[in-house]
Amino acid sequence: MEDTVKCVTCTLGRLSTDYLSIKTCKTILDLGRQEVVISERSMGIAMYVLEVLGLTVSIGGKRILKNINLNIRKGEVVLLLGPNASGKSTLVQSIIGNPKYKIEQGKILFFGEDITNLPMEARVLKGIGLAYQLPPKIKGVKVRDLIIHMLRKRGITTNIMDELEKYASLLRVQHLLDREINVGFSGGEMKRVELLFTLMQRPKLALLDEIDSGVDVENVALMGKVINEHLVRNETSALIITHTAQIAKHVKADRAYVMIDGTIRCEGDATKIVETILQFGFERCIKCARWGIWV
Amino acid sequence: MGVREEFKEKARKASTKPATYGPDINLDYYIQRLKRIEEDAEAINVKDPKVQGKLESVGIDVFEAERSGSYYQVDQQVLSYYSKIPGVKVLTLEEAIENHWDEIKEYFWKAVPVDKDKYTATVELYGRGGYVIIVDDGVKIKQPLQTCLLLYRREVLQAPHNIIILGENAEAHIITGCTFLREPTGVHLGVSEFYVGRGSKLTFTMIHGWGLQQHVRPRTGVIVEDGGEYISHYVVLSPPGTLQTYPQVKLKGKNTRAHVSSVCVGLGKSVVDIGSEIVLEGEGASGEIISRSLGKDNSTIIARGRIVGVAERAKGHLECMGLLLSNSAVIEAVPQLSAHLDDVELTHEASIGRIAEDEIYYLMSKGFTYDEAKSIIVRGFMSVEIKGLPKALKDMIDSVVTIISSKL
Repeated sequence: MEDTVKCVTCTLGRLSTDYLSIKTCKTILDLGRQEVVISERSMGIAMYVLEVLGLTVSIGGKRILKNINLNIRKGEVVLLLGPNASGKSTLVQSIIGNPKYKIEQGKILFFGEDITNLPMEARVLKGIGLAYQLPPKIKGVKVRDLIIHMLRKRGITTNIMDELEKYASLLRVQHLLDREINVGFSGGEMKRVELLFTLMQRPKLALLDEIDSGVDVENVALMGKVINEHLVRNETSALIITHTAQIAKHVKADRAYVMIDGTIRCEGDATKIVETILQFGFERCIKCARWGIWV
Repeated sequence: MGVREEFKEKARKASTKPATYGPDINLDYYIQRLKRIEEDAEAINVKDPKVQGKLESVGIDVFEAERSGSYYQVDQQVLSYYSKIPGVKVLTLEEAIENHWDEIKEYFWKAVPVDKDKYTATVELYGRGGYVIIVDDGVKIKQPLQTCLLLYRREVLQAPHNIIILGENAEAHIITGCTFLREPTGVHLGVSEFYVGRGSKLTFTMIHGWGLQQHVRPRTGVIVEDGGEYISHYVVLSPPGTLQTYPQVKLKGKNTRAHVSSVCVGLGKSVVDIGSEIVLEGEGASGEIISRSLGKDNSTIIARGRIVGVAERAKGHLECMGLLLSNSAVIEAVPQLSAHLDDVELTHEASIGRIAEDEIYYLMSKGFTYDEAKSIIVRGFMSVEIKGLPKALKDMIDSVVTIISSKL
């Protein structure tokens, strides 16, 4: 029996509050997913750039993330939405391998390879780039020098200067290249410089943590344009974290996840989820009928 | 020379006077030894590859391609000295007293009192050598002059008296490198008196690399006349057992400027007491003291800074930063401001801490290892923005600091 309050975000578009039918639906999804993974493995190619499987993470003994499942396909742009302090940053910090975050259970696969226990810098070398939500100040170290150092370390020496000038000019941060990292930068300047670092890293997977928070409308649009035109290419996928969903107005996202209180509450079409959240807020997700089934 | 005898007399009276700061050194032992150390004929060739490497580590270019002149002294013995530039004299103290007394007499023991303490007294009584650099009015030297003071023999005392005199509207850049060649023992005392004439500019870059059984007590005084500018940057790459220095810069003239910065690394059980003072005496004088201390192992660093404002529209800023790289090192910051007029503006900031983990993780997220991230932060901490220093000297300091930060 179809329910009257249909969830607009469901990937299958026909979920109801009827417990049995949802359960069936989830089972189908899970089975389907496993089949895909099995068929990929048998062909020797990974369809997913990133797979987070049953991840539970704690900081200083406090459990922050509970049984997170999330994936990103090649070239896909995925939004991770959720209210403040729901654990979004914890998830990206765990994906990049920040040692402060302890993985208690679960796995992180990058192109099918288990990277759960790899050190941070090894993950970065494999192609994960992270733009920080609140990057620290690094006194005495200039933006330009660190970018050059970062690329040379990875053996990239060609076109560095041209590319740096090009992206810096696109992001309007040329005036910051010879300044100490984040010393005296405005909120928006910090975010644009973080995006510059990410662009220059040429990652296979870009994790962008709240790059739109505290940024004026014009610069959110600017960053969205740069992400669309220069970051996300065939070879680059992105996970964009946002609690305001402002950046979603400017970036063409394929799918979205909603995280609430350390768990993934929803996954589905980006446009529909963003629409729902902009209209009803995260309240709608908290009350969503699917809650309880996905956990 | 009666005048000289007066100085000697004052020195004799001060020969047991302890310094205001820093551990006391028993100089008698070294003075007695000095008499026993014969001037051996052993020649030191600065172009010997081993010596060369050591000198390069303190900024000395033995091939002198980009230098306007050089001065080398080993222990109490002057090796060589010359100037490539007309209007610039590079002399030894003895030669200057002998042949150019009229040019230096007004400046001899004027910026540093001979009876300041037993170290200045010892320089007058037992010192040999020291460079005297005289730059004539209007002469501007583009490439730096280098002076190099080396310790070589075991438990030796080195006590040079250096004087730099810039006439009016002159400009000079000095790079001084001090280190030891063979024995990491001995005492280095150095008196330096600098005079910056009207509208002149002097930059003084000093790099020290010592051994942990050495003791170092430089005594520096600077006097700057109207419109003059003095910039000094002191890098202690590796500390001696004990080091105490407190250069005093007197901005005597109107609209004078001074920037005095230091970067000091404490290692082993070294005790370093490093400070500077700027006295803003001339109307509109402005001064800045910047110090960066890095404490490793069981070292102790006391970073002092004092700015005294006694003139109208005088401005001063003091910045004292410490970074602890070990749990058993101690850093003490002692910033002092002293204003004597309501028109004076003096500010200071001081902080001591350890490397923030978040900064390390941030850099690791850009692809650096833990150790690389740490050394980037240390390297950044050690870099001081110095306006007005020639690019060659900036680059030289950068490379010296990069090498040392990678080893910390």
